[in-house]
Amino acid sequence: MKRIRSAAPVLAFCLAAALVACAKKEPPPPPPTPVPTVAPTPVPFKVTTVDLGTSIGDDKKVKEAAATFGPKDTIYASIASEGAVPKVTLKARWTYGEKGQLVNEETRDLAPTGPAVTEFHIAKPSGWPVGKYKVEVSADGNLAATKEFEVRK
Amino acid sequence: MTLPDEKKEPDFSDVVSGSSSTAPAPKDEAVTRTYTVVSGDSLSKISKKILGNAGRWKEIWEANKDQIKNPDLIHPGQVLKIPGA
Repeated sequence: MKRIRSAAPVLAFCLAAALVACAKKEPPPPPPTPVPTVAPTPVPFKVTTVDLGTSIGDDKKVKEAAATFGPKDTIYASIASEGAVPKVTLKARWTYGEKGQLVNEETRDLAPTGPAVTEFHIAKPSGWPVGKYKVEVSADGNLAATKEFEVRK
Repeated sequence: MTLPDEKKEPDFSDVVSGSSSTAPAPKDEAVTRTYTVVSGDSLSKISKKILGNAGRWKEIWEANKDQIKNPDLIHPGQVLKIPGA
């Protein structure tokens, strides 16, 4: 009987210690190692193809490539490109004849994030003079592609 | 003796033009297009061919006041900023 009485405090202490141990919280997990943020590497801009035609689809591509047009046609130049840059200036310069008389010159600033298609178009309600024409496409002032075409009656 | 007829250069001032792209325009750029004046152009003609409305010629003039003092006087080869395009 005496032995039992002296063991009670020890048992109570062990029980309390076990409870404290159970209640003890796990240490918080270490904060995740920050992943270094790398800015997307600009991919150089490059004109890949230039196609001419009389109409384009929603994807800005000509529906049917052509090199000969009628006097009343609207002429589209569809320019496919690659690259991701914050800004590039694409220019289409249309000229007529051997002297290179300026027909139209227009630029468009773009911020492509990958492959893209850009179209430039020209029309002449009074009719195109027959003859040979040329469209020069340049990117940031650097000639990227040239296409020749003809207007026939 | 007759001189050969001198061929007159065609007039391309009534050419209508435009452009569009699947690529976005650069951020924070009010002007993303330019147009080069050809022989026979006027601001209203350019406004008609680029913006589709001859009456918006003043917008083009406002955007190019640094180089156009007289709106009735523009020159072939001038590169104009096209606003709101």
